Amino acid sequence: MPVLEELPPVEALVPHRGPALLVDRVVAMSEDRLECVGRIPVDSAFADGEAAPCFVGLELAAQAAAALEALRHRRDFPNAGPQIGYIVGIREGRFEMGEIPLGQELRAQVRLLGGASPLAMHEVRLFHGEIPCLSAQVSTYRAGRAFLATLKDAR
Amino acid sequence: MHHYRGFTLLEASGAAGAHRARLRLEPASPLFAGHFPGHPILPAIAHLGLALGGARGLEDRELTLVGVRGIRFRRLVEPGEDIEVIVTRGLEAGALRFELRCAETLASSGMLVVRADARA
Repeated sequence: MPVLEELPPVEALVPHRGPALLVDRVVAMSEDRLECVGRIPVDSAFADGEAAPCFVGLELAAQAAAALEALRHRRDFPNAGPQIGYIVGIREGRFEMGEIPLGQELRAQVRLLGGASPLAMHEVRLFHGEIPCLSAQVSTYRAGRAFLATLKDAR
Repeated sequence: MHHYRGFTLLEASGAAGAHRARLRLEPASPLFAGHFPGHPILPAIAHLGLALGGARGLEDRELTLVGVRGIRFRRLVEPGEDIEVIVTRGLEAGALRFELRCAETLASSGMLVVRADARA
């Protein structure tokens, strides 16, 4: 995967903020793949001592998938801001570690498997160093804030 | 002490291989911090955490989540809502089916694969 030198900051790609923002930066991207580094922050709501359950890493991997979708979307809409991406399904997930240490660098790899925008399915993998943490197929729905208002009105 | 860290347990019951619990998601819960500013919703991984809490309630022991299958997230969960957690045993050893419901509506469902925690 080529390393892209001029990628927007991750805050321009995903709407998560504070302890919910797990991706630090995108380090490589191609047409249908993306790699990023991130961490589970020490002030994570999911922290249990000095670690968090391994499945919390799914959030980091899903944010990486959202970043890939955002970058693909920006090719057609260069001024598009971050859009909320919801996880709508996890087809199969395997958690290789019991827990993930907080604050340590993790590497997420995502590959677009298919879908029709705004729906997409990605294969995601997460590593701590060379140690696999998890793998899954994750489906996401990329929605604007207007969509959220629609959902609330429908209730 | 209950298995649903970060939630207020309103009631819980267990019988015939099933566990049910009703919880309140407090508006000030740190689970909403930054997710998302102006539009707080419960993260998907918190659904899994709730389901694992229900699994621990069912088995009455510490468990580690080692896999998930066929998870569907069908409804956004917002601050202040009550959530019902239902966990039942699957056909395979270590496989547990869960449903989370809000206001009679299915919020998420799927299969957990767990193993007994060696620390327990």
